[in-house]
Amino acid sequence: MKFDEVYDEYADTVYSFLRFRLRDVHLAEDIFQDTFVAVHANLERLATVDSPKAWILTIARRKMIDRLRQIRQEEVLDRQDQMRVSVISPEQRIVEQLDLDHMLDRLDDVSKIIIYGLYVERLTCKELADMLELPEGTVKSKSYAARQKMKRWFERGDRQDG
Amino acid sequence: MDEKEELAYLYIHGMLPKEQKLRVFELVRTEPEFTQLLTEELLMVRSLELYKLRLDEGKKAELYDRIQDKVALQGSASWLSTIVRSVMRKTMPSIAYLTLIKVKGDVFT
Repeated sequence: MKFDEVYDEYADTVYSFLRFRLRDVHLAEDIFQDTFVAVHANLERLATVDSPKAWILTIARRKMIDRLRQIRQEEVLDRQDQMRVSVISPEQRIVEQLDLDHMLDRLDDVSKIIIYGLYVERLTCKELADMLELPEGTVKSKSYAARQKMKRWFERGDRQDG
Repeated sequence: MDEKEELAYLYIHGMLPKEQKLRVFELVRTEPEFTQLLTEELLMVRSLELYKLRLDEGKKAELYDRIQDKVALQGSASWLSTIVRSVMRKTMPSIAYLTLIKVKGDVFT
């Protein structure tokens, strides 16, 4: 696969993932670029991996972790808060997304990525295990627990902890 | 994920083989709780679809150009460092060069 084809195929996937985790457009775009520079440098490995999507998302996740280590945590959280109230989309969509953000914020980071991977990118537990560098059994149990929590919150329509 | 949860998940995501779909239809017919599971899965899918973003073509092209610039920059930096290393190797006293490599790992660090 040529780099242009990889970019065409996975640009939206990487961008969605980074925006889901960061919300800060500028930071997400920076990490997006770092991710594809790394993909470009390791393009020959793409043919050897089981799931190109999981491999590219693994790179994106590692780049994000590296970058966040460089930035003071408070700074990122502040910017995320600002982004939450400045999302440009139809009103109902904003309200729904803010509720959903609130629910997802109550999950731990790994569970959030698992929910995102399962429902947005439709990754398998095996792909998520590779991406998160965790045993598949751990991903399955975390996925079960996170889905139960999400469903309970949906069912109750609540925004409180529990 | 227990078996029924997984069936509901795979069915809603269109990932279920044909033969297992019959099992889903049977469960829908016989277990109202399973229908509830399907409804919940569908709600999860529809809600989380909000996070699936599409880059607009202009932004996608702009980011592509920036990536290509970075790749080119890395390529030229690597080319330059090869030349400088070679020049330093030839011009520095070998003991100084080897000491630099040993202590710092590279002549650039």
